Amino acid sequence: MLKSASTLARSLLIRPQAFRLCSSSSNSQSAPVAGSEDEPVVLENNPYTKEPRKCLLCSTGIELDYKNSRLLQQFVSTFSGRVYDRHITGLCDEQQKKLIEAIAKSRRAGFMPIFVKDPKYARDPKLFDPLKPIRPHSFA
Amino acid sequence: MPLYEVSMITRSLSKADLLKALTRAGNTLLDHGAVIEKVESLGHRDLPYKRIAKQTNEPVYASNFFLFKAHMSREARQKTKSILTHDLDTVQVDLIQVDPSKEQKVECNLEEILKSPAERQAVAELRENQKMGHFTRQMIYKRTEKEWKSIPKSYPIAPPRP
Repeated sequence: MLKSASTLARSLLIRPQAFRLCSSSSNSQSAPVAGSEDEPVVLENNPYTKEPRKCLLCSTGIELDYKNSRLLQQFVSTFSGRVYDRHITGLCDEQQKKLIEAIAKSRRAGFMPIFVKDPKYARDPKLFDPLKPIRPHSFA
Repeated sequence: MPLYEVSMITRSLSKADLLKALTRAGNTLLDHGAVIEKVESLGHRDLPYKRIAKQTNEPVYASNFFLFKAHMSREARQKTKSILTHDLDTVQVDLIQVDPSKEQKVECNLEEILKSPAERQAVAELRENQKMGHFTRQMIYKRTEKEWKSIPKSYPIAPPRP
């Protein structure tokens, strides 16, 4: 008698309930299966995907200009006066191409020294560490 | 007519001489059919390296930088460039074309660069149509030939006739 009462109470209390995992998108994206709200919701894209990383110039939106020789010289080696390669600067292909073009223009127009980096700008903040390149070589 | 940025570095001049030099430069541009949009002074700055003024042979360490924005034809650019560079009051002149059509937004592909070479699309493309030497090609041919020959085309012992 007692036992049957407890089972009855349990059956009344614990009922199968439809738990909604994703409250916002479940309405639109749940498969139209008749009367089965317990089905797992299949999302179109992974909500936990990270945003793609962007290079320094793309993320900050800074345009390279041949007249801004101080910015351009931050990408030039203090020791050899040469432009660092893309595995050191960490720029995307497009920005590295623009950088090399801008430096060539700037040197041609006489805004920037050709063989060296201007010693005035040698203590400018470092944008990257040439001793820690993202890859061992630009072609690697 | 394409837009050019005429960057002009003068030798160290007095204010009156500077005015004369600038008007002369502007007039040469206008005489060759240029349309000057804007004239800017980039200030009195240190030069990146020591220059020598023409004729007087004076060293120039710091001087005035100017920028003209002018529309002109390609022939006019060539002519004005030679005239302005041979001007005695200029140290450096350069006409650089500004192409607004080139300024397209291209997606940053740093994420692609940071991948390992096995996963990179550029490497896969390189692999697909890579060049092959003569001997490598011969070796591959011989190997496939050998494999083909090793497949039995007929039974070593003929099957019994029906």
